Amino acid sequence: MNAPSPQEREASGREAASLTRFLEPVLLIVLGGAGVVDGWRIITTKAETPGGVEAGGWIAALGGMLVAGACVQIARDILRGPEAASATEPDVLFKPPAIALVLLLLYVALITPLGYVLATALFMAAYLRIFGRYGPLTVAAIAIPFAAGSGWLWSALNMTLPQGVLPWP
Amino acid sequence: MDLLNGLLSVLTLEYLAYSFVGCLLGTLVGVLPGVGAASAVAILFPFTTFLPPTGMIITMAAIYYGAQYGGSTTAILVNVPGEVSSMVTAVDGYEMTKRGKAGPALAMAAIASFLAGIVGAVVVALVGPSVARLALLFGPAEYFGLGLFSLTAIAALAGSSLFRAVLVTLFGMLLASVGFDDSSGLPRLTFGQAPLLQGFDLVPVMIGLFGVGEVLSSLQEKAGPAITSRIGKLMPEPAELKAGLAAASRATGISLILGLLPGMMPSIGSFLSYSIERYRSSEPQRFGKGAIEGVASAEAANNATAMSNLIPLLGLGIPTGPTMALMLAAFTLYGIVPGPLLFTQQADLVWTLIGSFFVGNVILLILNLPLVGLWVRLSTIPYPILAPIILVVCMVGAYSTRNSMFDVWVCALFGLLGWIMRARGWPLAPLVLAFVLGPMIERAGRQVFAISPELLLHRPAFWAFIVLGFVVIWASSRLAVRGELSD
Repeated sequence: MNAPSPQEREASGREAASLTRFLEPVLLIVLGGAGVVDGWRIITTKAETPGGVEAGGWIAALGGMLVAGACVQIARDILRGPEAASATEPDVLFKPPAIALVLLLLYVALITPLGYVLATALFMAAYLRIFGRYGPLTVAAIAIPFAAGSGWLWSALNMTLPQGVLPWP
Repeated sequence: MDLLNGLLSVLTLEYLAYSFVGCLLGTLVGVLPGVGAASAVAILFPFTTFLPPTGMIITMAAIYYGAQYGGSTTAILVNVPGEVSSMVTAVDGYEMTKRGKAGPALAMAAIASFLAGIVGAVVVALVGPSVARLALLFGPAEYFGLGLFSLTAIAALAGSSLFRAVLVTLFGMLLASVGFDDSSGLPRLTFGQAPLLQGFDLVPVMIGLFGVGEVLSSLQEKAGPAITSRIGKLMPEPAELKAGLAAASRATGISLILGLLPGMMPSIGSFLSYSIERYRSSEPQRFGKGAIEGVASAEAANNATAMSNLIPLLGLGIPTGPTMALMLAAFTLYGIVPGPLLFTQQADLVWTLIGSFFVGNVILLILNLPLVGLWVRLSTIPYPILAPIILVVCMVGAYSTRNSMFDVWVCALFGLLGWIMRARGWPLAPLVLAFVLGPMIERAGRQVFAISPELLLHRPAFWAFIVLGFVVIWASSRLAVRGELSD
């Protein structure tokens, strides 16, 4: 992939920061809310279990503090205004890591059905092709030996990885 | 006497081999751009689990300081810091390389690291047992206070907004609560999902946050130009050596004390020591333009803080940073509980480990300077080739902890979390420490409240920790104002 220009980086970062500045606090509210709900469920339904109230109370308290803190964070962000938020957030490019992450998630999803060696070879090939822009021969020369060699190495270290369609190593 | 036994024990062929392989692997991974010491330990952790307990812990420790050393080599030669603390080394080290003084910069870094490592090992040996004896007096109230202080300190020293660090800490404690509750046996935050009953294992979480997260973050950054100059003669001039050693000694002294604090990671020690050297220098304008004291202070502080971090871990069972959290995981994997009883119940292991610090530092000194050329070549491997290899190793590492695809998904998702947190300026260290210390704080707090909350009023040590927490918040706010606190 071509290296982005500084202007592209700045524009991308500002856009992302202004669009998503409330994303993390909202996610924290959701997670904290889950803590409160589950904690309350345990307190109300498992009160007779020894330690039940404390077990529920702990996550309800943590969740409650998280929700309150995230709300304060949103209020602070609103008071600062969108321009201040985008100026203080680091300018970042989201596209290359997002593509790498999608490749990684696909790889994880394919390990069980295809097996470690095949899935690794495919993941390596896709990554090298997209990010390194290597030709098919170079890609094959790196991906296949790495997948086979590492598969053999893990097997030699007594690791049992999913074999999938290829019963090796 | 115990230390002597430990040294003799580590001089067996088996333990020397573990130390050597750990140093070699740690340096090898540490020189790779975008892979810091915490990531190196996280990625390599699962591959050490087939070793015997002492061997595994020696290897882990050797990987840790090997990775720190590897980071400084590439920082000096190609301006690619392998980790945050090496950024300080790169400031003057790379300037020295550009002026044709790469050899003296590397040698000074090695000597300063060695000096700090050896002094640090002596301090661990001397102070560790005393801390452990002190901890024998601790009950639930003291552990509750210590846990709260540790989380406060790490949040305050996270180098980011304190408020954000507190939110991350709460999030980490909530994540640690997922799964069966130890006391009541009730499932929490599982929402009927069977895989969540076992909770999140620390290793896939760490590999995801640090290994995968760092690779994804690196894709956002433009690689710096890789300039390889001739290394030339290694030894600095006598005057340079004298100035460097003096700076290294000061940095070692300061960092050994600071390293006892939770949250005081090697990177912070490096930044602080460098700032102090620049402040007290009669020619501060030389700093940033190739001052050998800059390289020496950063490297010595780095190693001294890392060694000092081991004291709270071994003596109290409290990790001071993400890497120490993994060391704690290594201990607990074998049912060894770091803390007050470790020095009596597992004396052989502890003293062999401390002995291995001395041996490891000697191995690093001997190993690294002759292999500098190899490390530099490794650091210049194109990132599009390196990144997928690191990602595959991360996934295999996550899988191998419990032979479970659930852990692989956890690792990938925590990689996403690590990347987003880095990209958006949220600190990672409080998340990890809260994840590790959360259960301990909950357990101690529940014990205190089961006895009587009034117990807290009669335990001065608890209040001492609370006061210390406020002192750290105050000190960190002062440092933040002066711009000396950084991630």
